[in-house]
Amino acid sequence: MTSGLVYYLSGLAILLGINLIAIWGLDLQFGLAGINNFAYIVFQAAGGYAAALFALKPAKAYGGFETYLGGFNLPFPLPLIGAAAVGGLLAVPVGLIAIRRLRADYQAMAMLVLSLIATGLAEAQTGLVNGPTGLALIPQPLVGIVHVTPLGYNWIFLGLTAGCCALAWWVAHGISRSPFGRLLRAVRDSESAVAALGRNPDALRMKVLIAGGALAGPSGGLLVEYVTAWGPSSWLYPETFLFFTALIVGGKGNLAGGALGALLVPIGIVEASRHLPAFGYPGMIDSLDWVVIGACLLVFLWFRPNGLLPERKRVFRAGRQQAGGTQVSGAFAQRLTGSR
Amino acid sequence: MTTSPGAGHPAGGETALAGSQARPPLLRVEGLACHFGGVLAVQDATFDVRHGTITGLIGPNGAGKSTVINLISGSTRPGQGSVRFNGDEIAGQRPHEIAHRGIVRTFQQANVFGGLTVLENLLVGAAPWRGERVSSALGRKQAWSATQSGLLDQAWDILRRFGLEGIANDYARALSGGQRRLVELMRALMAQPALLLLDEPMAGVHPALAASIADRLLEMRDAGMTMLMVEHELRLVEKLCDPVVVMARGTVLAEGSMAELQSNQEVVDAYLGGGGGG
Repeated sequence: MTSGLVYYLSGLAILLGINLIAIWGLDLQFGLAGINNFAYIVFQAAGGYAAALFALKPAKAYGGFETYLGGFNLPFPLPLIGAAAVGGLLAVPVGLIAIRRLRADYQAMAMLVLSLIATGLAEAQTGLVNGPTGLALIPQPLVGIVHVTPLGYNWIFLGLTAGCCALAWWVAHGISRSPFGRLLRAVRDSESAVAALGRNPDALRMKVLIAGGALAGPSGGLLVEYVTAWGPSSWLYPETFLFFTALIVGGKGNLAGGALGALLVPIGIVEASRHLPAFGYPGMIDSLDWVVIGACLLVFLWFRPNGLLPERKRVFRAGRQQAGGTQVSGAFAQRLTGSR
Repeated sequence: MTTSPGAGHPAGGETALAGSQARPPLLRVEGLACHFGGVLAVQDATFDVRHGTITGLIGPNGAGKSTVINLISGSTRPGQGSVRFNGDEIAGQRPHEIAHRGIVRTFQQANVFGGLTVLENLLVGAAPWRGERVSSALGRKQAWSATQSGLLDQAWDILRRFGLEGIANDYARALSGGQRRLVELMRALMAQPALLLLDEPMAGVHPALAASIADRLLEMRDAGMTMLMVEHELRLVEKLCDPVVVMARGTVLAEGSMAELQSNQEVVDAYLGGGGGG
């Protein structure tokens, strides 16, 4: 195996990890809680911009060829932590606008519109994040501290990405297996029944929107720190549907399904098309990427909506074998259920 | 229908009713009104629900019964009027806030969590607890698994009581309409409500299963639970409910035992004489 191929494959592994974190975040929101967050890419973008602005020096330091707000020159891992915070915090206004008072179908429309507004704002405000040109020269983590070959740095970055994936898995797994995750699945099925049982569905959805945003943020942060550039053309609204397709193909509500989808769609389909011989007009293959991804989404929605690895059933065994269980049922319930 | 108040009730029903008369009502609905656009769905509805009773709410289609349930449970905001629960005003509060106070409802169309198993449906029914917090989800499983074990024991007990332990791990979406009704009822039991609002719990249910549900409701009442039940099946209302509130055209027409209502000509004209006895 040539070193060039190894470099390429290690780069793919990094992108796989970055997509994995984003897809697990979306799985919390969409797979578990049923939120049609068509603005999901904005959370990743916000995390990307946050990491960039936290890592970059002030614009003057680069001769002023780009203009942006901030430039705090923070050391690793603070830009990534900042990205997670910004991704999570962004969920609050988005949730207040798009989740409260709106039905699921209108929520989806509101999210899509928010995504378009965000892109428009980023392009229009040149002083904020350098407008349509975007940010460049974003410092990579640990550069200047570790002195290795480009391939060696890829391995370091892969290790960093793997660590972030492990953290993301811990969050997503912890939520999906927990009673909180069960409530989210209940909200997905019937908001009115959840409310009738004393839980606030808006609050539950807001919490998972924050959790998902806090995963999308660092995925964006890792991405910009790897590619060292970030602009509005990198996070146009169709990118959201790349994540949705991955989740629906792999299987929503199942972390393994999300991982399989991350491998098959953003990596598999997109990378496979790079190796096709050129044909048609320039850029035609890129356009066909979206045709294939869209067709894939439609095929799965029609014929296998639960994906290749569907959500797993949670089975509980009968009996009182769970020793030490706290008896929470009151006397009233004991009378209802009969003394045993 | 020839019956007297409490007839057909298992022993304990009359005692509970007599005891409840001495206490202030658990729920007091006064002058409740609601309109949808220009249509007045409920106007000046006034009635009480006393402790330990199954209060029936009957009336022809469009009488406003389900709207009253929606108004009490917070699904619909009242235009005017008062709903007092344990003396506290709850009119206009949001559904989860009202449920938090101890009022749990079932729905006209069985409203189960289809993507959850029956057992999981019951677990969601339990009163909110610490394990449902995000911090618990990100903490150690041992911190909440013990409490969940207790809830599971409680859920299994209820399932056995209803003879449904065999479907405990089935998805709710795979159940029949009648079984979904039972799941909704069992889920409400898990919440240990002070007041259970039942919106046509027997609708679309096989008669044998309806009889089984009726028996469970009587057991729940005898265990001290208070219920307000909308129901069209008058034989079941006669068996289960005392008192019965009759609604027609959005207003409360009369209130009393079924025997009393039978002799009320206005009620007979509005509903009972209209072939509604089936």
